[in-house]
Amino acid sequence: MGSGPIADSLLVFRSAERRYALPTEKVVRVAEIRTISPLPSDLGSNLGLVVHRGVVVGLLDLERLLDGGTADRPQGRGGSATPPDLPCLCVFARFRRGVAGFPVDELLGIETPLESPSEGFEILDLDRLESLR
Amino acid sequence: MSSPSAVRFTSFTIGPGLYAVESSTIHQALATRSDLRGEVPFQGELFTLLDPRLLFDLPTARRECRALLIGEADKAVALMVDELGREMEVDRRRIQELPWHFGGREQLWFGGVVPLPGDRAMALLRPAGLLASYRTLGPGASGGSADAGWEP
Repeated sequence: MGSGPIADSLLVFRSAERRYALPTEKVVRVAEIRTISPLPSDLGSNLGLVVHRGVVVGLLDLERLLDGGTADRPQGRGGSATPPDLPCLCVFARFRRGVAGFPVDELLGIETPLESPSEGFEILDLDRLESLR
Repeated sequence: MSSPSAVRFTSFTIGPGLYAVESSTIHQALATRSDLRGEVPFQGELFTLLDPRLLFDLPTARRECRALLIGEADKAVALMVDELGREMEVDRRRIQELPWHFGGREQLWFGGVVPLPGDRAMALLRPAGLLASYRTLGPGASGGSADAGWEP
């Protein structure tokens, strides 16, 4: 997934049954979130809002975003994404247009691609993800 | 003493969400039922009954609620809300834009978001934007005549 230079290091995490990696340079912060404020949205991958260090940041459902809104997760009425159980871990990532967070189930560590070629996880291309929403 | 950049908002809930409108735009708050449709006459204006739940993809079972009479002329709205919250003063500098990936009709419905204590976010409604979307739902949602039974 994605082309271009290999990142120096990757943050690896699990969401549902899938493992992903994100270049650490794109990671703004990893934090536990305890409150999600709903905000109605036409886009099924939008989960709502969190307030982090005084700033309102949007939350994305990574699975629904990658699957085009058809991920096999419990859906609210009309296909709206269902917020995760709280508290939960959240990775805040820097997209081109701004920061967004996505809840994750487990952090698996930092990988260095040149030393340990990526196996078993999908490296996320944020530019491509941004084009999907 | 209020800051010159402060605005007074009245908060309320619709389902699990917390929202607000500028207090100066509210003419009156009335008790009502969520299944009423049509228009409410008040002081020479007709306010279109609007249940945001129809737009927000929330259950719309009949319930007791409040209607906030907001705006005027062709943008007069009787906005149905679940519970009225408190009035609060918000410094305009604290109002933030919607996060970048909220790019659908929500851009029309909300004028910004405000972080609150307890890490909760409050969305500022644009009643005129809601009304524009509401009218596209068709006569089943927004037409007809309101029944009697309005109480302040």
